[in-house]
Amino acid sequence: MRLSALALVFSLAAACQSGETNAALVPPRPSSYESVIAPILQQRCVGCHGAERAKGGLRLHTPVAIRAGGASGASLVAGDPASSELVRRLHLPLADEEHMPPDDKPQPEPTEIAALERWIAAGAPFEGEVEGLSVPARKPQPAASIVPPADPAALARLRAELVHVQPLSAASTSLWIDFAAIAPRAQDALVTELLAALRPQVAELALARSPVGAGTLAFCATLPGLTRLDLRDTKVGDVQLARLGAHPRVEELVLARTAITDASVDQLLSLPKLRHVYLWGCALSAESVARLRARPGLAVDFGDTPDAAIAQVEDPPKFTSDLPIPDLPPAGDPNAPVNAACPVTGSPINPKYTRTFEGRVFAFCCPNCPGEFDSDPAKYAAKFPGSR
Amino acid sequence: MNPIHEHYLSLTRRRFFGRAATTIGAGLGALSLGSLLGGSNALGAQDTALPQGPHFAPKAKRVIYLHMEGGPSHLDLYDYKPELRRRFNQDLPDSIRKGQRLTTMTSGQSRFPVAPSMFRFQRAENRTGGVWLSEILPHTASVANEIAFIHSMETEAINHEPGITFFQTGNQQPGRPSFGSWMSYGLGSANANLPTFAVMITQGQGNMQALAARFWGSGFLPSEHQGCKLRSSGDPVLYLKDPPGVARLDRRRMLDLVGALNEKEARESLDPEVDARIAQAEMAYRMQMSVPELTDFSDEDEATLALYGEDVRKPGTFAANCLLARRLAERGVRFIQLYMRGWDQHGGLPGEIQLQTRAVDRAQAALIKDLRRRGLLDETLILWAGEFGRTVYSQGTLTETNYGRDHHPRAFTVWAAGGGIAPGISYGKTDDYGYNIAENPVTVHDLHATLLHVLGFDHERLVYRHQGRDYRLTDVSGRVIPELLA
Ligand code: HEC
Repeated sequence: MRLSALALVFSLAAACQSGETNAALVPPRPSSYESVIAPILQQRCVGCHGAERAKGGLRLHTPVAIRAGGASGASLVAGDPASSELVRRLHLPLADEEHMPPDDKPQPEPTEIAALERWIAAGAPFEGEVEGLSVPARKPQPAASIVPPADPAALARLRAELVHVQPLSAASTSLWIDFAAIAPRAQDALVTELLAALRPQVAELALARSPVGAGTLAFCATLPGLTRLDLRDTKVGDVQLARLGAHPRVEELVLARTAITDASVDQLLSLPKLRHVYLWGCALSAESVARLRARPGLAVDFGDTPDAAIAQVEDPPKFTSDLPIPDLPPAGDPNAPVNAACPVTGSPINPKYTRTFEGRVFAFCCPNCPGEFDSDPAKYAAKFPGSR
Repeated sequence: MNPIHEHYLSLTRRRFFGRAATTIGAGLGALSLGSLLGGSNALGAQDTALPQGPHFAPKAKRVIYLHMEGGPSHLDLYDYKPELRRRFNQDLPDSIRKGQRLTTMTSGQSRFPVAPSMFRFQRAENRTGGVWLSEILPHTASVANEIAFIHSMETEAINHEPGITFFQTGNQQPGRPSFGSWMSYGLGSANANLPTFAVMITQGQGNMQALAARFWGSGFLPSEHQGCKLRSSGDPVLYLKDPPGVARLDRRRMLDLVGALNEKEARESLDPEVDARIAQAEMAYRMQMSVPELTDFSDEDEATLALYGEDVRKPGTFAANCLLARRLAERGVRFIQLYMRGWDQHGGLPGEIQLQTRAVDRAQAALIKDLRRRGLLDETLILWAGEFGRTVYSQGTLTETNYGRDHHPRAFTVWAAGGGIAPGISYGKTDDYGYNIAENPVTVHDLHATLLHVLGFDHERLVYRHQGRDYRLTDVSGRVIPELLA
């Protein structure tokens, strides 16, 4: 009995595994195409030479594409950087028309060009390691744009609590964090404790259906990179929302079915970057909604989006067969049939099935009717005394 | 050292490297290793690594895919051809048919008479001059502002089985992973208490084809990525409830005990599969709590239920499944697939198609509206598609108010809405007969490439190495269609 119950649990898990843990990742080998070359091409070239655009017929986003070359043939010669078109163009003077990337675009660092050359010199392999190849050092970027990588221990904590965390994109250190799995027990204390070490990274935070309150909103006010905050179906009201202050980055705020009232309008208008706010199910007056909507660039979803208007309704259709059949020879052509309806059945004709009788062409609706016509052509032809 | 233990260790190491070799270096393929291990910390560093996730910032975080099984008639729903009313019962010209292959259901017909739609059309305003929709889709018309209609869809398959397989997996022959499995593999779950890829089926009114579980299978991807079917009657997920006589506390104790034994085993053998087992058992235990709450609509207010229509109270209807889809979306399920069966109207189409549209029209519009007001539509990609369209010529007897239509792969309409999709547009055109594509053809691979793009993936880099080569959802073609992007 116990064994079979266990088997059930396991078979269930196998059938409906949640894939919760795509989290893990084995890093690619440090000196490979994957870890060194692909990111350079991705950042510097793929915008014009990738899946969506293929300037000069060249795409550089996958090994297959790189091997295929561009309009003027192979862009690289494995083992010989000096004869590789790609390298030649990187080294051309900036003013040269053929210089890559075009002069108004961000240019690769010399260290990046060196890495590309080393890789090509080593035979441009897409698998395995290349000796001496390493991720090139970059000039430090302006401090504001750098989000440091997240603390691994803090991420592990989140995952252990079943909170979803994911970078915004492969190249980003900013995070989307979603408490959906544990919403009912995501209290202020838990949320702020779990996120405390991730302040710089939190960009999108979903706390829908959770019991969060003032503590979490005060904490959110201290998240420098927060752009989207989802508080749908929470008890958050005006007092709690006020704790967010005039957050400088928040763009989207989901407050549907919360306790927000007219008193929060000024608070919302104080958010300088706010683009979209969802307030369906909140006790807001029409005036308050109008005040919010008066702000340029702010979309307010109050659940009152009008249905698309019906601009035109067709008259009840009439069915006829009066349009000329495209494949018929034009009227006047000696091969044009004289009739539009089949002499045998009265159905519309198909120009494929014809007979010529006394110099006039008759068409039929189907392959069977010409035979019937042949049995007494004069009788059927008499139905069409005139010609077309 | 204990020789048996040593043997264990080397076995596990070999297995580990064997598996790793198939995944490392294949770009996203690397992800699958982590998934195989069920997120355990067997590799030490692993639970501190971030999921790779999408290649670039996604516009949508999840998908709701409404598959209309049977092949809905684009001519009676979306593709407005008023001039056909003046070609009633004329034969389809050879210059239009161009020798197109026919199914065996109409290849014996002596005539191919043009059957104009008997339904009136109305022009709903959208963001680009309006779109003509059939009178039997009044609710869908009300959300025309949100929808991108693709009138120039084409497929290669002419029968249901290969047609659905092609739409689901990018290949007509069975065996490849389904779209939802690719998403599960690429994105992972956003809610560890629920399946990542959920499938729900609504029985239609007319002719229905078999739906094989492999339409939501994971092919050669690890099996945890396969779709999980939620049933509409009885237990939503099979084997979820504790058997009679087993209390939840007993189950907990059992899991703790087995878990302790497993952990001992894991420490000794270092076999990551043991940790995977522990994780799976724990997940099943959590689902015991989360699934009943999910399928219980008692916390929905009357106005919301009314939005979806009366049917919503009957489990398994399209309306109920649309509401369930919204609840799954809210809870972080990545890929939600609804199958609506019964669009295969070879005869008696006008009557049958109205039964179908009555079942879907209000509910699908409600789904869009409900997601929109909750702030979920911007992050959710909705796709509405059958496996093909239907012929302009009648199958069987034609009258003004009764006709049938055969399968038609060469041109038909599908639509998308939500995150990252250009709202309120029409893309592509068919010829005067609604038979061939006149402008901007969209292949199944193009559609997949475009949807993957919205979800943050370069379709050429979402790959999995199998039998010595990289496989993609888009096989070896596919083009992102920029006009469909917001
Ligand atoms: C802003 C767009 C842009 C970027 C970024 C860009 N290119 Fe180009 N590239 C072009 C255009 C346009 C052409 C075609 C005109 C020409 O041949 O000069 C081209 C042509 C080429 C060609 C010749 C293709 C052929 O077969 O004729 C090579 C090689 C090339 N680029 C390499 C690169 C590399 C390497 C990078 C990144 C370091 C890069 N490009 C970045 C726009 C770009």
